[in-house]
Amino acid sequence: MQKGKRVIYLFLILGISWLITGCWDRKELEGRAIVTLIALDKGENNDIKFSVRVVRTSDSQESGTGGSSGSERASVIMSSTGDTVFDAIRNLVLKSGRKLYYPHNTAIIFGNEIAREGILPILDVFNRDAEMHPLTWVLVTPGEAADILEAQPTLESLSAKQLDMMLNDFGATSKTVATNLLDTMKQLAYDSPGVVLSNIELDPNNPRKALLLNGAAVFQRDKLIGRLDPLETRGYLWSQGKVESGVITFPCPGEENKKVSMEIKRANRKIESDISDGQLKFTITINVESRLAEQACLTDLGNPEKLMELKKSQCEVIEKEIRSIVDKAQEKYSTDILGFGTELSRKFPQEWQNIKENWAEEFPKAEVDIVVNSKIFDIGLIKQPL
Amino acid sequence: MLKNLKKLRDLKKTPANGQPKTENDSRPSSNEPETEVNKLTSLLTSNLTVLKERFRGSVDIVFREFKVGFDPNKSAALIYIDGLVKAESINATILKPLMFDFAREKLWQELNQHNLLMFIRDYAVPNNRVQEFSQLQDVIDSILRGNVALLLDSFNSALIFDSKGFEGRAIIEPATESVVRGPREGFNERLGINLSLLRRKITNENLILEQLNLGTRTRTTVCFAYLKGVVNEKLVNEVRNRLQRIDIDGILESGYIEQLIEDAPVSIFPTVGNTEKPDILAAKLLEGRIGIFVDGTPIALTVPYLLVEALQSSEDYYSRPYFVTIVRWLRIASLIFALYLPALYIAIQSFHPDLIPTPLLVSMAKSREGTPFPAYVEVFIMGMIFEILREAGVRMPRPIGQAVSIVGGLVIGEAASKANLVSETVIIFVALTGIASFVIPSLGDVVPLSRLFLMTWASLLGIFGLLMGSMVLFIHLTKLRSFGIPYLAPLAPANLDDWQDVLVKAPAWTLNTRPRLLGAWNSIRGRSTRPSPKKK
Repeated sequence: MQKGKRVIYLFLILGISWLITGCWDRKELEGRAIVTLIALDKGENNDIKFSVRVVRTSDSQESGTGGSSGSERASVIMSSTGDTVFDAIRNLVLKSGRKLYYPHNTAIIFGNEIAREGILPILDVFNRDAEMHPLTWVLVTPGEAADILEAQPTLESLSAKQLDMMLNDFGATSKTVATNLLDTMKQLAYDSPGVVLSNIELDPNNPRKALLLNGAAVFQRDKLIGRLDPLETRGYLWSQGKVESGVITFPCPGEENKKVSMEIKRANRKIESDISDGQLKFTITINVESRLAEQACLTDLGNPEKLMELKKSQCEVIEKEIRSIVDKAQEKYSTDILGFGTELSRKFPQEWQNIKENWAEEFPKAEVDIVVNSKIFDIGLIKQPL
Repeated sequence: MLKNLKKLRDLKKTPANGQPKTENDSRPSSNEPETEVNKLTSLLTSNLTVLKERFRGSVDIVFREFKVGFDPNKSAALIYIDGLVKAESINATILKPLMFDFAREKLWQELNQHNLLMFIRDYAVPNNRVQEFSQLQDVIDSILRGNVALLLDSFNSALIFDSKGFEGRAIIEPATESVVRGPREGFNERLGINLSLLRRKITNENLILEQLNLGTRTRTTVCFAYLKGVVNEKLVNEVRNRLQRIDIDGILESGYIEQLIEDAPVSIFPTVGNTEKPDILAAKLLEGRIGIFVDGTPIALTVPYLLVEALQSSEDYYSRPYFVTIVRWLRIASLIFALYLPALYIAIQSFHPDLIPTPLLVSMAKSREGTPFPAYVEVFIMGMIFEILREAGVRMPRPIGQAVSIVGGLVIGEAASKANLVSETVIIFVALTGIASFVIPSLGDVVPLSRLFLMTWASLLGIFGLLMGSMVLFIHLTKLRSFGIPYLAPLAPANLDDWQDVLVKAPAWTLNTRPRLLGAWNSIRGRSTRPSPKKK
């Protein structure tokens, strides 16, 4: 019977569909606790302290209790300890009751101590677990990471949202870096000698705890070895070709006590490597296009001669920024955080096989040339200062 | 077994072949005695007795006996139903000529005096429509339809005069299909007026109106209209066959016919369309469709009916094409909203909260806080309340309408969320869904059912379930046919030429072909070109 067969097929298809759903999890929203930030610190007993900032959705029910402001009540911070990260995560359920829900986590923040010991063993669970998002930001703080969770949002209702926007906009200044879990793991997977992560602190000038991105942190492999100030960070970004925009300031030609601001509009970089007589040589070529954004002096900078001077000063400032990070990487850290090794391996794959072994010794000896070509294409809406 | 019996019954009926009179004759009512008189006799008194017997003394039947032309030997009788005829017209055009003028008529004296019936028909009575019947059933049918029957002594046939004059509703703008631009007139309950409205739209002798009488008890006049030369003749035969196959005691509305002739009677999707406006019906006939009128209802049916018709409106064709295209997209979006929004909400909030931005998730979670039911139950309850309010709004006397909107809007919406019975998010989704489903009124009964179906899938298996449910729905849709035409045409099977009237509305001067599957008989609609001022 045609019809009977069809009904059997229909039920078969519907029945089998139940079995091939794979991993699924039905849970009502009110049974979940949304984690927005994760902080990892070294625990007191040499274990791992895992802290989370969770949105308190039940907030509206008890409005009016306590004198705290709305945003403070909107989130709670919980922490637990464990031998491993996963152990600590599970131990947290003992305190929370609700199931903690991680896909909306914005950032993983490492405390100073745990970062010095190495972040690779800790990041393992974040890559392995299906609930963790690969686009989560990874940050480091100079103190206890749990303290950063205390930060209150200023404009947003969630501090995690604010942090996310701050990191997305890092290109406006190019004075910090924005690295997510995926980038971090990619760099570490390619045997990169170092990683640079963003450095987050609590704004010391704000009595209410507020977030502040302050430069970057340098890792040798996965171990924290030092910090970069904002301008060194930009030097790093120049060398990576990751500068999106930003402001370069330097003294006004003619009036040394007044300053000029140039706005970076476009930038790219090229690294060339060369081996001659056993001497390694790298040339970083930067092409910048910028516009005159502001001048504090009263000299007319709009004419070609002055613009040439501006251009020259701009090149010098950029060169200085790059030089500072190159020197720091070569002399202080002896770590190739700039990725010169990768460049070298691409151009001289055979020679690289020999150099690879003692790259840590070879890298500081390499000669680095910096060439900056800049172009000023706009002076704004007014021709000259009034 | 059952099927064979049905076939046998159909075979018996086939000699009818579309001719309404004989069809009714071939169906004697079972509770009549077998020894029934079928033909009129030449004796007036016996005819009257038989007729009186048949009508069994109904109060509204009038038997007016009189003598023709002052001649005591020429007995005659008028039989009609009070209220269905125009009394003045009977007095002036039938009784007066026969009783008074007849005697003075010299012509009558000169002509052959024996054929009185012929003389009355051809010379004496000024009536626009005269028929002669000798079958008793025909006479009775004619009387029931509001005609006047004249019986003469010594003649075994009756003359039927048209003198219909019953009360009806005026032609007004239909409440269901209101337009901003376009004709305001709508059909009403009288078949004759409906047919005349259609005639006035299509002034062409190829507009064919075929009549049948359906319903063994009600003998309702059903009429189907098509444009010869445009319509596919096979389709006409199919419609005629399906209509003739109907065996039911009464047809009170076109909905009876719709359910008795549709292709997929157990599907939730309608495969027969309906309209209340002559301009819409005319447009459908011009595309090669067939319209079916039923006496006593303003709703005419159109077949075949395809899904895309639900997304079209008559105004689309009367307005300039640009905004219409956007409005069509809005209708499609509304259909998608109405079908998927609650299901998507349930799926995302119960299974995939990682798919929505964090701030939205937080506000959704906040509104869920403290509500006692799972999302599915919540949406189900709110959806049910919405349908109750809608039904109350339709059934209730107009003046109480205000009360329902107050109770519905204020009490149920506001209070339910304040009392933490349902979350605000659900109220928003249910309200949006409800409004969206009003945009496509012709799918009004399909959308809530499909929505519930998809919601159930979503609540069990999340977005995966939603996809499964959609697949079931779409497989069903692709399988559906309306009078042999795929329900999803011209989307599937795809016919790019017809798409100019589906997702977009192309300007009138480019719509030169009829829908391919419908108008294959004569696919060229016109040969307009882009209008441009003539160069001198």
